[in-house]
Amino acid sequence: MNDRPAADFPACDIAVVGSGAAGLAAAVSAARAGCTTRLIDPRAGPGGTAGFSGLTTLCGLFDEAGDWLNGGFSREFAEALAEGPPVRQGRVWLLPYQPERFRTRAAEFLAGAPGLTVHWGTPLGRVQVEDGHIVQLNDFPVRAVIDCSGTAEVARLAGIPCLATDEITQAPAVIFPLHGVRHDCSSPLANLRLLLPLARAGLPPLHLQPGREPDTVTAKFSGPPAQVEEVITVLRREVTGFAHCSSPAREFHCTPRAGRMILGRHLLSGSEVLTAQKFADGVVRGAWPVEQWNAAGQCRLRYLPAGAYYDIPARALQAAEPRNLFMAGKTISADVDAIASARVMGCCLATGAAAGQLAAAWVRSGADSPGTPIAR
Amino acid sequence: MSEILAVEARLLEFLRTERFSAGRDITAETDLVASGFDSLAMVSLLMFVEKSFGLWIPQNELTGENLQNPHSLAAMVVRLLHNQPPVA
Ligand SMILES: Cc1cc2nc3c(=O)[nH]c(=O)nc-3n(C[C@H](O)[C@H](O)[C@H](O)COP(=O)(O)OP(=O)(O)OC[C@H]3O[C@@H](n4cnc5c(N)ncnc54)[C@H](O)[C@@H]3O)c2cc1C
Repeated sequence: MNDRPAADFPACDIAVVGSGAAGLAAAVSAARAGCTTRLIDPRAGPGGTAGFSGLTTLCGLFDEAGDWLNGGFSREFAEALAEGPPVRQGRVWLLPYQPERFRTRAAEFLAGAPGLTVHWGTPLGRVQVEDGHIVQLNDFPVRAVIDCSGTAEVARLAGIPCLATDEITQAPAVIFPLHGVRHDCSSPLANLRLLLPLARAGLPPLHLQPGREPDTVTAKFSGPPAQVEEVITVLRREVTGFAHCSSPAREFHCTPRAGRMILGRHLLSGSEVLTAQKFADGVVRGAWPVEQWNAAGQCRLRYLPAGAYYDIPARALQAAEPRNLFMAGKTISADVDAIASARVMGCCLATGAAAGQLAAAWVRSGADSPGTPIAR
Repeated sequence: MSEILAVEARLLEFLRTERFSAGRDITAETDLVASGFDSLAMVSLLMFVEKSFGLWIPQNELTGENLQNPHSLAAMVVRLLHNQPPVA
């Protein structure tokens, strides 16, 4: 891996835009498939939402029985990241992780990928389309592009149609750690004991997930950042197990949930997700429930049939136009219900890996090969 | 006993208008969690109870037994109204 300004470099096979869970997987997979690959991101290093937002649980890696949904890079990375076994919460499994470790592991995988160049501090500036293909990105010629920006930056700059973002059922939240907590996140009664005092104080609800360290949890708060201090005060005063809780975070800010999806050769729908649809060109398996959050902090979960999974077809990872644009993570071709399942990090890793392989196959053949089976 | 029935009736009225308006049957014995009550739905029910009966429900009353169905909840309300401790 080289680390130099983009302008110094000649053509590459594949450019990956964004280095969150999806972009990391896409870049490593494209490079491992033998393509010269560039990864750009305005941040100083890899991780995106998974590495920088304070989240500590990877969702979407396992089926209901706790077995891996996808092999390949998503599993390889998750195993390198894990410091313990996954934990069960109701009908789903979460893998607790440390965000710092996500960032260092990601950097190691990128450094170990052959023919991969990373450009930190580099936002996408320019996209040039000619004869229905993206031919140049910033200052370098490209043969294929993978949009992993979460907000479809490539599509936006190239004037490619996107689906409307949905902040109504994908409301943003403030994510912060709480230390010194004794709480069983998987107990509905324990959660009720926490939610009732907040409701009495007129505060929006708080959702807690287990942290990596004992006595720590990760909180997702649906109110404004300015109310977090008040929430902590109420918890300390009124909830057993929280008397000595505090947050090491220095500031609180909102993280957007909604993605911006690019219209692909297939638009994955919520009903395909919920009926566990399979496709001949299925490249990724998903099983996370359709998880919607409104601004009042209410979470609505719609599950697949017991034990079932759905396929994400290769066609949902390739733009309808231009054909050399691929997408992964929060930008895949999915409607608002489908992305409410497929946006979890485990699934982003898997769509990233698949998009990297698809883009590499496309570059090698110079054409579409719709049914190409991809090793899971 | 009639006091419990009266409380039960208020709870059922609230639940019928707020939660089960889609024509679903709810009785005093309907298991709340089994019929889809999540933590937030439970919070709105308990907030209704606190406001309607001028109560403050202590943490140790938030148990699976008390919250099982409208009947058990009504029994808890009546007990709290008379300042009685939870039955062990
Ligand atoms: C409140 C909240 C709670 C969540 N909880 C969980 C959870 O518990 N478990 C779970 O698995 N998932 C959770 N998610 C979902 C999950 O975190 C995200 O959907 C997922 O991380 C998205 O990954 P991504 O790679 O698609 O995008 P991102 O991680 O957003 O990465 C996008 C990358 O693109 C870069 N970028 C942006 N603009 C440009 C540009 N112009 N040029 C180049 N690069 C650019 C960014 O810097 C970033 O690095 C949660 C999300 C939210 C908001």
